[in-house]
Amino acid sequence: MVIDTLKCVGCSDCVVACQTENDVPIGYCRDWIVETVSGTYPNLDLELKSERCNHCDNAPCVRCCPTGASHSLPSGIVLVTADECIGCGACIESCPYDARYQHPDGYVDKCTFCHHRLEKGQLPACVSVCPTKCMYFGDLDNPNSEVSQLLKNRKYKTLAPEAGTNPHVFYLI
Amino acid sequence: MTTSRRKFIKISALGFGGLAASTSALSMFGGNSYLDELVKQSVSKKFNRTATYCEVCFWKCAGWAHTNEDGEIKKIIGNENDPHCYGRLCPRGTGGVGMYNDEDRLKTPLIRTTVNGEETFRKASWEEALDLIATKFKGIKETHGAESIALFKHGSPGSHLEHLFKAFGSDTIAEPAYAQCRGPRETGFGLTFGSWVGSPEPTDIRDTKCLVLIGSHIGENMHNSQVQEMSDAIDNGATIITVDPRLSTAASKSEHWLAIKPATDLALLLSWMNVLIEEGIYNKKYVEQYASGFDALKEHVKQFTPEWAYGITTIKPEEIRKTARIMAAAAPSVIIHPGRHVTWYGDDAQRGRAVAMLNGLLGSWGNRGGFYFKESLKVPKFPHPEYPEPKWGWREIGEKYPYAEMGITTELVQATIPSEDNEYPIKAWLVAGTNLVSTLPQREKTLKAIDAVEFMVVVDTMPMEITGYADVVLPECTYLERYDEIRSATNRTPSIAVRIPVVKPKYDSKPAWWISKEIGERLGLQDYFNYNDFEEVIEWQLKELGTSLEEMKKIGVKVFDRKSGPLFLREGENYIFPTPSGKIEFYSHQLAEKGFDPMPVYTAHPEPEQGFYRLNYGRSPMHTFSRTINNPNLSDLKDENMLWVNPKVARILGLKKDQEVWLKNQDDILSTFSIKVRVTERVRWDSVYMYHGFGHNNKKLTRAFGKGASDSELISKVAIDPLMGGTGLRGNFVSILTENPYKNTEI
Repeated sequence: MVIDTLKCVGCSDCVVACQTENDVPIGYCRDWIVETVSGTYPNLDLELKSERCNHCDNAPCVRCCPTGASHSLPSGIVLVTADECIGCGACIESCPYDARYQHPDGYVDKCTFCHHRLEKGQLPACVSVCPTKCMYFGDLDNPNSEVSQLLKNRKYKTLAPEAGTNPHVFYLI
Repeated sequence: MTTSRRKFIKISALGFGGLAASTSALSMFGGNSYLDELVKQSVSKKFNRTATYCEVCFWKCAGWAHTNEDGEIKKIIGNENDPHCYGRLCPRGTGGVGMYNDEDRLKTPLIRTTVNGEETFRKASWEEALDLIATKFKGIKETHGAESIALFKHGSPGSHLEHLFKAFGSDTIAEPAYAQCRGPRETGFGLTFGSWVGSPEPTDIRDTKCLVLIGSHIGENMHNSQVQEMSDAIDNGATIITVDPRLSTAASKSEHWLAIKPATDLALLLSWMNVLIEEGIYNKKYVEQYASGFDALKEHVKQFTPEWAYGITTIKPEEIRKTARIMAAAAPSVIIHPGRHVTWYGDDAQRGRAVAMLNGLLGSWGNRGGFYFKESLKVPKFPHPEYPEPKWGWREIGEKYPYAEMGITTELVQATIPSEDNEYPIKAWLVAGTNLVSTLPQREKTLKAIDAVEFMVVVDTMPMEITGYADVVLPECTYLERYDEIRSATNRTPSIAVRIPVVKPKYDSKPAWWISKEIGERLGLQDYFNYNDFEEVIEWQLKELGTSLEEMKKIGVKVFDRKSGPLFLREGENYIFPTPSGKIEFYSHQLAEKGFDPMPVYTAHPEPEQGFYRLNYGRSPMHTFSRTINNPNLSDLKDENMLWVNPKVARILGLKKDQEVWLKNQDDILSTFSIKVRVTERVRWDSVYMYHGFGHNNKKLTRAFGKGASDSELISKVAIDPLMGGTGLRGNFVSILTENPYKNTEI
């Protein structure tokens, strides 16, 4: 997933869309908005971005999960199988992005990139609804995909690269 | 807590798209059996979608409400053919289902009564409530005339009740959307181009080379198609110039953010015109062909040099020149955006005119990347007898403002307060879909008027503050539960959208069309309501428009071909502007004749005294004014507002992040609730900022009550626009109290 911070207005539509799509209980969220202000008036920079699970290649949540509930799919998507989750919370602690939360039903929940939509050829709910169209989703292994092209042609960053997680959410800057 | 596997499946088996997954797709992610199961379940579920258009704000985006097998609304998504949303709703539209689910909704009709000397509401049947309203309305009509019953309205319910009022003989109608919002710009553009800007604004943002925003914060106001087009403009490499004392979201996306001193925008606009003319970089060909009064304007703006403006606006002369040149280079593909909420300082119609004139100098009106010629479809009126001619109405009440072209709410309020020289005494109110207590400035005056009315009815979905003052409260059902008028949109191409009930009305709530009809029939106006169900009205209208309800239920939105000609001026086209001179009027003879400045003049506005800060306010992208604060989905995103304070101010006053403070304005009015401090560089040191709509004081709004502070209760001073009666709201100043002023008082 690629997110263009130059277009994001921080409206939180991605957050509500995710909540209604995935029945995330009110009071919880799988994605959220981060606002960063730097400089002093009037020489200021404001960055707005939508954050979520980074679906890391080297995912600490998968490594530390005692039951194997947290797992990576061959496509790179990291999921939690709720049936196998004992709600111990080790993954919540291990995640450098604070992307996971304890669902009131006792298991740990987080962004799935809307795998149930992807299976049907639809984009994740957050991407499909964003009024600024600042989110892009696709196959990074395909050099011709929109996401690959964006990363080739634009400046970007990832979050907490020092954690060595090799995240799969990229921010255009 | 134990994990219920059954429940989990129920919660997670999603996928409302209703599209079948192919077997090959099932194995796309590695043939995980658990996922396969989920997908199978989601595919086996049947979801229905119903066409609607949103009512969470006035943009009225068309969408599809998705319901599951149990008939529950699961989500709402945009209609791809809708020019208001291009298939993408904003957070409020996506969270619109919260409006339906809100358990604090008004549930039954209520009638004011006295129990043991205390006034309270009692539940009533519709029959009783409607009978009471009809009896009261008849009585007031007999004694004072139907004209003395006023309608304050907003949104879709307003149009049904407007029909009732006109049939009854009252044109005493107003909505805050005019004199508290966009009225002044309509006057300004009307006087210059001969046309209102209208809604949605006919701005060709997606194709512009340069977008100039004057205090307009697209991206925080989620005027959907404009937000989307601004994003397209960013992709296309357009230059954005934002004039705002605050680093708004739009300002942060701008190549040039002009951090202007508040209340000085008109000086900047005049100075930009000075640069364009003095440097000879205005659109000469366009001006020569389409404008009148250029020589007068040239003479007029000679004095308004960037150096002059620098002393007023704090914007450096070279910045003013540079930005003017950028606009000129982009012209005519440039938009000086008219803004929307423009009732700021009382000279707003003249500022609107300056914005229009600047667009005129650049030639953007009628050119690609500027303003397009909008077009909408006229929906035929369902046949009814002629409305009677009222003796007086909103026009007479606002007659001292010659350019008021809609009712002025605050003048209707004034006409309700008894006084000897009041020629147009208002005796009763019906308030539909607008929380007047929170929407209008000078709350004291509103409450005085409410105190004076003989009878007051409120129609709303939520127990807003205004409902607490009503004699009768009627619970309206939400937009997801009713038919409404056909939405005819003014856009590049005309289109219509329908609103079909997704679910049955919850509780004992009813649609406004039904309420209007029922009251109408009790008033002997059945000929005006010649149908059993509003569905019949739409059906008839759709047939007249060459479509059908059946078709519209399937498509939701229908786009028609343009009939009025091209979107833009043709090369050298002999276009006649609908002004008295047929040209764009830089010099306005009609203004001069009426004793107003024929061309805008900058006047200094009051500034805060030491220890006071200008109270600025604006939109949060997750909310629509005060009406959505209690929405469970939207309050989850933002449940309170904060007071934005510059770090310099925080240092002087010793304010810390998240500290609770109270506000006291220049008239010693105290905020009812405290507000938390947000220390941020995004605001200037001479002003504070907060999101509008918070600080509800009706306890029945369980999520919104006491959350944050209300900006509107602190707006006790207004500067009235002499042209059209708009109420300038940005001249109020607050001091910040760190001690609880109520600690010795019970509230």
